[in-house]
Amino acid sequence: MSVVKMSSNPEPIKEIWYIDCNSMFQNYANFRGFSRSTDSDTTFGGLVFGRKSRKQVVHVFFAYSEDLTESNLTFIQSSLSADIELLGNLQIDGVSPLIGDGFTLQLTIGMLESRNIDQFLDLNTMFNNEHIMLEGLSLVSKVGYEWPLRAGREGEDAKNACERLSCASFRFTYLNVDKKVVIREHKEKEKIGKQLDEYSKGAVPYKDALELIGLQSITRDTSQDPEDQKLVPTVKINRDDKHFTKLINITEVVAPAYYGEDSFVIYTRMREAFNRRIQNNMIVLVNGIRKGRGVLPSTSATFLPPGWASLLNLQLPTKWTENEQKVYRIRLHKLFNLPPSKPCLRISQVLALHSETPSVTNSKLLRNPHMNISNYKPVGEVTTVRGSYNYHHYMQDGIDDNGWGCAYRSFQTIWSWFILNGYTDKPVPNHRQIQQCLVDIGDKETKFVGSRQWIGSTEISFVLNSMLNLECRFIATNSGNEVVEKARELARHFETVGTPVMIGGNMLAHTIIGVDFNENTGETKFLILDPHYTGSEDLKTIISKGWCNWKPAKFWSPDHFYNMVLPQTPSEAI
Amino acid sequence: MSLPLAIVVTESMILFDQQLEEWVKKSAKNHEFVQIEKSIPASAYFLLGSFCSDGDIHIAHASKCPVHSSALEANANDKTKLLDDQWMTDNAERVLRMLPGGVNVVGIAWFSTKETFNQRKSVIQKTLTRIQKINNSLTTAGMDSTISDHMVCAFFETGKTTPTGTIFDVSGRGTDSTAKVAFQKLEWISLVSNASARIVLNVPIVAGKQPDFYNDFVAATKNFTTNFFHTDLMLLDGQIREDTEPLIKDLKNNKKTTVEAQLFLDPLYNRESGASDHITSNMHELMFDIEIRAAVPLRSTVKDAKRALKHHLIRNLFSRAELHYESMEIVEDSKAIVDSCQVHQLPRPATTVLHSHPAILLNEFLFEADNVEDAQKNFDDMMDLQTSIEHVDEGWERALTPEEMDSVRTPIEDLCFGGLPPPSDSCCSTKTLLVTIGIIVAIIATIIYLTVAHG
Repeated sequence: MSVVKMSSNPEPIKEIWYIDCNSMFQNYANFRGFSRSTDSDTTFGGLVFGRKSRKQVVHVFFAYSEDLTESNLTFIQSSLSADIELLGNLQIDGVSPLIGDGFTLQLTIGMLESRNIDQFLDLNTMFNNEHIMLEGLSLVSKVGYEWPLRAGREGEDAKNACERLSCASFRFTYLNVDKKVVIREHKEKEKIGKQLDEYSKGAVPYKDALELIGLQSITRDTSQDPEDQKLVPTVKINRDDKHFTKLINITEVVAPAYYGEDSFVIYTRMREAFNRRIQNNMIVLVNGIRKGRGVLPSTSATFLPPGWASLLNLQLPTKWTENEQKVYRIRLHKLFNLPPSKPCLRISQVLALHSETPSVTNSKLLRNPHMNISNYKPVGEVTTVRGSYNYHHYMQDGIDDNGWGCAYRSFQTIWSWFILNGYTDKPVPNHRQIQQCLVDIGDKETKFVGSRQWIGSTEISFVLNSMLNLECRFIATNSGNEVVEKARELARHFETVGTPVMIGGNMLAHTIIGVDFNENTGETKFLILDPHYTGSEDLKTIISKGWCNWKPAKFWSPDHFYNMVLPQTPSEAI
Repeated sequence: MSLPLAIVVTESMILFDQQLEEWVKKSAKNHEFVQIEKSIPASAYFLLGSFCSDGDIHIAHASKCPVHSSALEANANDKTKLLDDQWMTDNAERVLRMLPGGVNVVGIAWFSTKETFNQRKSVIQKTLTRIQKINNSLTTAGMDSTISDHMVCAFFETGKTTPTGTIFDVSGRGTDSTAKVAFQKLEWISLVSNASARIVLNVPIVAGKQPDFYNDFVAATKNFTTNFFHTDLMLLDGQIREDTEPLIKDLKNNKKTTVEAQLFLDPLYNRESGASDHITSNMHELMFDIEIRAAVPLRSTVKDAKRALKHHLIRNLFSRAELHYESMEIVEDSKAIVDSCQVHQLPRPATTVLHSHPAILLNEFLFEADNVEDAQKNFDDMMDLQTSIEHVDEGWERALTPEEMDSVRTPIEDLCFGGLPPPSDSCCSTKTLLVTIGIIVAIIATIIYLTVAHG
């Protein structure tokens, strides 16, 4: 894309566009959350991305002047959903550098700091404030391709190979045999209206996916060949003994298909998604070559970062050292205005849209069952866990722990939260591994391994500390009544930290995943995930029978003491 | 191979096209003549047709297997007058190369006395086994076992026009069986497609061995061929069809004369993410862009139609490579071997339809110096066709100009792609590209012969 400097007073656009102001303000807060050395230039601006055809601004990214470059723009665009393009720039207090085509949003630092939506709308009269989430599904496919990179010219060859592949990407056809879906090159006049409405109605792209087999067509439309005659086949044989590296890339192509869209739009978008992926791949590869890391494949990853209304598609350099990857992630957090202290781009947070996407957690488990409680009427202010977790309970994984494994299961739920929120890539330990850890740190004797002995809140904190280097806070109570008194403290925990809380007492362990607390009446309810459930992963039963549901204060026995473990998140976690 | 003691009767039928009744009469008469006048004990014809999805064998045409020229000499001895398996197989292979995918040498029609037939039965069987083997290697590169193991023999006793049919199981695993023979109106349907690819693979030279064009060609294309046969999906008239479905659903009301196909490779086949080092010690780069006109009996299933299309592409490529290799043995000099970059042009096709079944398009491959008259002559000689020259089409392909040869010699990595028009809905057409080819095994990309730029 060419860089075009624009005038600071663009033509007024006489049409209504949509923007999510809160998302923009959050991006600004995240952008400012990264510390900066005092001697660097503090002028900043930003880029606006969205859907022209729907007049929607989907992303507003803030960036310091030195980051507003053509190469960053290309990289950002290659990472975004295929339906999202550059719309324009930000001008903050009239001094920002401008890049690319499109309109310019007028902002002030005061407005951004105070999150003043009215002020934004007054300055930018073409906008309405609206959260944007479209009805549709993700089309997902895996494709492989090879790049031969000649020794000493790897970077240059990678760029050219990417360009050639992009030219030839019309060769890819995507099929779903069961559903008889064909997404392939065709002329606009041959389009089929509402091609995937049957599947996209009521769907959301981060959750609902249509898996397609990606195929490479060796047949092409020859109707527009400039010559009737083709050339005879040729066999070129080269024996010049040149060295080259063959890089095999397997990438995941993800593109949204929204309700109502025709086959031409869907095919064009799938092709654009493929082209963006390979460009992203090429940029990461060339970046690695320039930094002397050699020719290394990268891994496709699709994320839904917090607060985003569309997906982020990245090629992650998973063969780089852990430290190099961390530096890279921090860079990405800055570019995409992601939270400065919360992981968003870890492999464990990848959306498993494709059946072959490796998952650290057990995909058969129920995720966030509490989100399916529909008939609850809050008594006060509700706060719940922040981020996803899996429901671990008795009898899973072929282990009969009925009667003794509830704290182990609560621990596993907590661990799954740390995986799904990007704090660890280590799989959830089983009972034996938990026991072994307690033996290894000297808390238990060797015979504890393989036993059916219970563990409690202390042991849970020991294992989290030993295996994940995490700290825990404790709340100790002398009775169930005191648990209720700690509701405010729990609410604060969920607001600031957000991890599930294990509570042990009366010979039982539970997981608290939310509180509902009325400041005025004192009425309190607890959202409990009960590890004692022994049935199958049947969401309806789990909700209706109360295995995951809101419990009144009397749920806690006044005659028993309870201890709560509140796992903390590390501060440097990106 | 020993002959089975008992012959079972199979339900499969050998169906000759109705139009071949005339041929039977003529051939029976001809044989009677050569048997008496020239003391030629047997006449053999290659039966050209298809293994139909319902198990029957459909025969569209028969072409004569010539006798040794020495057999016609005045003092020829009895041995030279016999058709041996090597001779018949060599001639069958030449015929095979001309056939479209879906049409094969399915057997032999044998005209002789009963006594001669019984004496020569083992030779016939051996020939059929060899033809099947050659067909398998030419049509599937030996990578796929989709060529039928059943071959037929229709025996016509001298003076008679009623055949006795036998189906041989040439795999040696099953039993041979007699089959009913009938004459019926048969129909084939044309399967239309095209295929273009660039296949790149280094074929390391074994120390102490000279590179061999054909063996290296087979090795260089192996991954492509296996991927091609492994990839089961194909679009027929733009649709995903079930393998078991009949290709033409309503045979009675069918007005279709062609089915269009889109062929695929699996881009994940035999691939794992990673990087590996290589040296271009014997780097092969095959580029092709060819039209496909396969044919199957109208009563075929989707599965057999897909198979025919695959067979067509591989047979077409391997036939040309074989012919080129055979021609190289005469002209190749040592200089070619030491050249660091050689470009071989494979022969071009000339085609004609089988007049009795226009869906069957026959190919003859011509070298640069050959012309349409050569093609016409070969069709006449080898296929017993009296084709007029107007019906021979050699306009499908042409040889490369010297400028295009230079473009092909240039490494693709050095070709400039800047300034290409942006992709559009008909993105395979560009002003400057003569041929746009997606690439298969080593790279996927766009191959260009910049004729305009170079011209």
